[in-house]
Amino acid sequence: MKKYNPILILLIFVQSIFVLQAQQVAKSTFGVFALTNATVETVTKGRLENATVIIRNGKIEAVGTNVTIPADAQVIDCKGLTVYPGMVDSGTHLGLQEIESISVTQDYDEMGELTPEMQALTAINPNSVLIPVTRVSGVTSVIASPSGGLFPGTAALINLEGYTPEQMYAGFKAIVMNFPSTGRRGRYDRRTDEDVKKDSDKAIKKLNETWDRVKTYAAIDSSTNGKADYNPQLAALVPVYRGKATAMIEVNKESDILTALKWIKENKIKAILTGVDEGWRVADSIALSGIPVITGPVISQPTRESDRYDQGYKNAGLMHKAGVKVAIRTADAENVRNLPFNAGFAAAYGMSKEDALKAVTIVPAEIFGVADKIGSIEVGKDANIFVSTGDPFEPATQIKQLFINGWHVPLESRQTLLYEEFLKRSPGVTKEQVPGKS
Amino acid sequence: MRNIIFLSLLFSFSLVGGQVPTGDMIIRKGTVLTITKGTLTETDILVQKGKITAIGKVLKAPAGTKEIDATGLFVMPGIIDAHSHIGIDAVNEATNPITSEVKVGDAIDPFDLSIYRALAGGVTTSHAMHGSANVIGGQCQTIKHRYGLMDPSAFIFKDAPRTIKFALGENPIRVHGEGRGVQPRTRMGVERVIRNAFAEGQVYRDKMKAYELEKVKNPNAVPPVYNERYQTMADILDGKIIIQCHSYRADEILMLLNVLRDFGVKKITFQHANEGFKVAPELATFGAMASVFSDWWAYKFEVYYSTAYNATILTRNGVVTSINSDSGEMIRHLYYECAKTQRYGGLSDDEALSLITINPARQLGIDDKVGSIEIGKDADIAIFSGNPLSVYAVPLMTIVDGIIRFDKENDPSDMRIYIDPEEATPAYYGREEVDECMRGTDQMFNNRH
Amino acid sequence: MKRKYFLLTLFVFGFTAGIIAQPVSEDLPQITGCIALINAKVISAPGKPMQVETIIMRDGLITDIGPRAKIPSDAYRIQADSLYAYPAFIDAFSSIGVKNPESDAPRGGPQGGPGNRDRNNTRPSVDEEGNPSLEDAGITPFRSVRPSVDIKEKSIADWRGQGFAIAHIVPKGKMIPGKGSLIVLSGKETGQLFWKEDVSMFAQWSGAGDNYPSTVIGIMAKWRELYHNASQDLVQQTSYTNATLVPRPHYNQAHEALLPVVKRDMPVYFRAPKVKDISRALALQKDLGMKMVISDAEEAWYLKDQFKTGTIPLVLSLALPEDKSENKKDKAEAKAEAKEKNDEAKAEKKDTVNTDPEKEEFEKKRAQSLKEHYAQASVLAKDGIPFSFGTLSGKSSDFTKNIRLMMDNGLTNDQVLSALTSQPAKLLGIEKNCGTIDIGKMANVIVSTKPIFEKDAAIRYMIVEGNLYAYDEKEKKKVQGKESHSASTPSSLAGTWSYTIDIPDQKKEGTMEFIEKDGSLTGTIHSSDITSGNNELESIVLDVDAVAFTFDFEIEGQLMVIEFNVKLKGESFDGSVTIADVGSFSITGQRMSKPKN
Repeated sequence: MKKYNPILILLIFVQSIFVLQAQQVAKSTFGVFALTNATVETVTKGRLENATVIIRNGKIEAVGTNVTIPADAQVIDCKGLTVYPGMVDSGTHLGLQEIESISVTQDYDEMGELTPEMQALTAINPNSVLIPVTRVSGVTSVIASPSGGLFPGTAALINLEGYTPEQMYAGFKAIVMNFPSTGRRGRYDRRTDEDVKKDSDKAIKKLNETWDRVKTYAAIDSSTNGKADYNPQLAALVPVYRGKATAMIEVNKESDILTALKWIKENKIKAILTGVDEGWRVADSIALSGIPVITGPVISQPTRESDRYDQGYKNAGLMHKAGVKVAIRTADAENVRNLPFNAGFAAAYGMSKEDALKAVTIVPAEIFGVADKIGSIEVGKDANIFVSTGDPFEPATQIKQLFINGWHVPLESRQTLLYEEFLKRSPGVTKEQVPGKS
Repeated sequence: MRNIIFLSLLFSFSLVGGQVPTGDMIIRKGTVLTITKGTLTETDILVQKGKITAIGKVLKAPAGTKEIDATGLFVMPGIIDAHSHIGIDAVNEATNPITSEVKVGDAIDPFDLSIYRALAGGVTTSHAMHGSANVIGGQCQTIKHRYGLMDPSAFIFKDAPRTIKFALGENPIRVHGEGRGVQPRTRMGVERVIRNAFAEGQVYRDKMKAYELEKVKNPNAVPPVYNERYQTMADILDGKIIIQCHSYRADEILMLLNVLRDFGVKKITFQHANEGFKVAPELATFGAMASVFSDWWAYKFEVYYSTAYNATILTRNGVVTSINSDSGEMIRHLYYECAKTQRYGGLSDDEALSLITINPARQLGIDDKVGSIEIGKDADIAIFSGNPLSVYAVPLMTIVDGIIRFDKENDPSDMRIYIDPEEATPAYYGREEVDECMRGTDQMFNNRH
Repeated sequence: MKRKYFLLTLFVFGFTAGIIAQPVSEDLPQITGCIALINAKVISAPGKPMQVETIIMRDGLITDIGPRAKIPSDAYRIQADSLYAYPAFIDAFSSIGVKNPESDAPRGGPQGGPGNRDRNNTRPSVDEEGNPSLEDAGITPFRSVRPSVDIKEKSIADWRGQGFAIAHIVPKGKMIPGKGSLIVLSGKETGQLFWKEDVSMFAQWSGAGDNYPSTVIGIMAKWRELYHNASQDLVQQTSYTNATLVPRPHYNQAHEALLPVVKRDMPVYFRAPKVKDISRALALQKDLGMKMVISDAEEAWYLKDQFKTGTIPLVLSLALPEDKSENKKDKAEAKAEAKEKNDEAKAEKKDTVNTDPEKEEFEKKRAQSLKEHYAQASVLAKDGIPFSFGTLSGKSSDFTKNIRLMMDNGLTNDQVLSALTSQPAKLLGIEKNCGTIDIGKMANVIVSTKPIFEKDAAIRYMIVEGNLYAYDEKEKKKVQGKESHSASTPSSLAGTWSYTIDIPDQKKEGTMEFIEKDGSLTGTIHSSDITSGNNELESIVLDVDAVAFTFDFEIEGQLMVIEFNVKLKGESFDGSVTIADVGSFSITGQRMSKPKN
């Protein structure tokens, strides 16, 4: 375990305070950057020592041990530090939720069971206080996903930098679907077994009826050259029906997963399974289907009282071992920053560290079809990069530099600002508050 | 076969002679994180009758003492959670803003699987708290995780000081002001409720004192109507009970400090205290302590202006600080929660681990018995595969009073003790979140903590 | 509140289909005050050998017994050569004959519950706030069970038909519902049932909902406060009587009522079914020192060491957990499924239900737990721990089935009989009068066709304090006879029916609709009382003219199962509606329309 001198860390912060005072508000900057003397964790092409990464026009221009530093580059010496591709959280409410208990700050659950046409991207708040808190941990992209109901809406992949949702959009959308569940929602779900079954039968029936309508609608749409009656719900599902759009299907219970796999196969849907809490029970079937999985939070309780205590931690690793393509998510909003630690727990309980890193970088990029843009340090990719003092899964590691889409993002959030203000509060205790003086 | 023997040892159904079981063992050659006396490499710990009796290199143990090889492993004191609600069946008696007379220790649930899962995270002691529905909630119970015993009283941490839950801010306001239509409906009202309760406690204490005096002279003296609610308030005034106050905002923390100063009450730990960092100098000056989350925030408005650097700022300002779980999920990995203070403020290893060992022990008044590896202390010990502050460290074995209560290698997967005779297959439960602190009020309210 | 009461009044339906004893001529006048049971095989007490004897009973007492007892000329003679006679059962803890509480009147005053407080009157006084009236708090130790007893309650005849002559009954309610009484299960009017009033205090872990105390921790604290204050009152009352210059004791109805408990004159029957309920009640007893009887226990074996000293008597529940094993169901379903799937592609992964080792392990554990519950009584008996049985949570229709289950799990004939006669007699302090067949004892005798706990044994006569109740066995045969050719009799349930449920002081009305499709029946219930989403009737069974079904109703998170058992009589039906823990009520119905074909 590496230790860090707190004084050194203090010094670093003191420096950043100076910077702050100089420019008042820290803004991201764009330009040409050379990260030199670095260890580079490319993810896809191994680990490079003493290497250089050049960032230009928002892209990675060069990576290697033998790179000429352009004259116009701002050089950042990364000696002793490691360069990583930005991490991707494959399922969050980030940008769609500000304060969990205040419903007017929640924009992920629209009225109705069947609202696939709802666009998460529309409701992303680029100025959410939660976003800087998240990205300073090295998480640079997330899936912002609607939830609730059978088809809650369309999720979007966003980068955690930008002044408008369009600037943040990272090139992937998917229709979200909650596969009908035969399980209980939680320990406080007091429905009887019969009611649970009844509700899920109803939901399956509704799903199949909906799909029949989508089929018919798609047929009419084809035969009328796109002149079918206006119906935004069905229209939103047609691309999924035709295999042109992806469905992110939330399913968790063992038997539900099998049912979902069957349903996906029968309807020939391009799907990603999400949640998949009990995936370890049917890992072989999932592997056989070839359908990728987004699972998490890894740091979670088992789904059944009879399960071994660490089954939640092990789930991702067991699925991976069976041959499932696994990405990791937090399913969080304010604490998406714990994504690396979730990957770390997966690594502590059976996944290799390398695979755990892939599960938050290149694997989600591949699943979302954006592996040409993000997920690794390779020439030509978007410059989503962070530089750290070491393994980002280790809590003690510090993040030192952050680039999103080539923007050099200040490592600042409301939480760091409060730290700087209050570590040594001035004034401290006033006389009136000393005991005996009141 | 080993499992069966282990189980039969573990699941004894009654206490022999009213004594909790203790054990002997020697833990060999571990890297011992004593917390209070540094880190000792390749060191042995001798345990006899549930106590640590020797620490050193190549210790001799009486013949037949159970040996545990900890070569290459990290040995630390059993983790202590200063705020949880596991192991009890009732959390909130949410029918009155003041319920100082109720005791969650009356509702211990020996079958709660969360106790076992906490053990599997190295946690040997937790502070089972009343919830935060009431301004002055019930008395809490410090418990030891002796999972496998059936007798509820076997879980009680012997001679732990009494503690009581107070709660400020949104929760009591929602339950009583908004939900039941009585004071308090504001933070002003919260202060009033507390002042009233202390004042009633004073009056009651005076009446009792007068009666005790009168009784000496007059055998027919009439005692005041017995009232455990006021008696408890009087006990707080007399320093017999440590206040554990659910709080978030800086202003409400200052309010309570002022009230306590007026009534001469000194023992207080602020629970959660998300804005404790803003008033760290005041807390330090008062001698108040703080038990906080590692990084929870933004789940309601009063925690919007939080920072994960809270524990660091408090520690640097000299406030005795701990990190707690308030959750049956999080209690399983407090070692990782405290490690986050190394990311958010760079605490040293000992500082970080103190947040889940000796500091919560101080806050609960049990630091003379647990919280560090020292001779004479209870043999509550957690053994990890690596440095517990590393995300890759895995808890391997947890020992309470010298008895192995969790053993990763040998535990069967299904650790339920009580089996419902009418439930064929254990139910699947989704991950809908539950507010532990508000348990018992969940029909009315739906948010966390 | 209305909705809740509807629910509370509808819980489990007694299975009248399998009726063993059908009373005859119950309302006819008694011919004579003397009964001679001639040459019966008599088991006079648990453990006593069977002897052929004649029992003479007069004016409610056993006046003579012996092989050659003289038969008085005015005796009603029962030739009992082929019959068996046992002392009638004593129910140690029950609510036989107890009506449900009246529906709650709207509560007033400043403690009127949540949401209806006057804004100008909200200043909390520390002691008043959340200390609701004793009634609202469910603390009514001053209440006797008597006013809530009604001779018309079906449970009296039901349990008498199972062999019970005496019962210790307790009122319904919350934390401390009130005082229990001893009743004799015979009489023409309610008052005649009573033998001894106010013999016990009844307590349980039932919170007062929105009012204090609502949880187990509140109840514990409240008990401590009540007990201490009652103790103080006791001391002060003595001082007040004996000395001057002592103020008059502050009067509190609850403290006053608890004085006999504090004096240890009156035992507290603490209802504690589950192991945690029991350990908490024991902790309370240890703390306060009252005389306590752990009652309605289902899981006492866990804590059997604590009962070995015999200082805390035990009343075991006659309710047993149901075997909900999926085995039977699964097999049937699996077969059906297999048939369906037979032609489907075999590439599909085979159903793993039958070979899943995890599931087998669960099944083993559950079966073990079930067995432990069934073996509670025998385990305690083996350790020499005395116990009685109480019917509070039991259903009369399950009585013999459950007794046999316990016997299958090790309980002996004598142990059962003892727990139903001599033990409860001793517990209730009536062993001089009841519990055996001896001269001078109350004439409480069961006359059965076979040894009483044997399979197919039926009660032919019940004699309760000299009153004779005869049961006709033919009734059962008749039903069986019909059953044999029932398959060919088509049902005529389909259609819409109106119904009326007779609940004391009110009638609940509504309609039920049954649809028959492909040989299976579905049904729905419609009533202004039912406001929750579910209105589907379940487990509908039609057997010739006997119809049984259930209806699940959720209220405040708690599931209530309402069982219906009715008999079709052409265009009308009648029968009963049962809710466990609550009671049975009669129901009648009329056909409104038939389905269109």
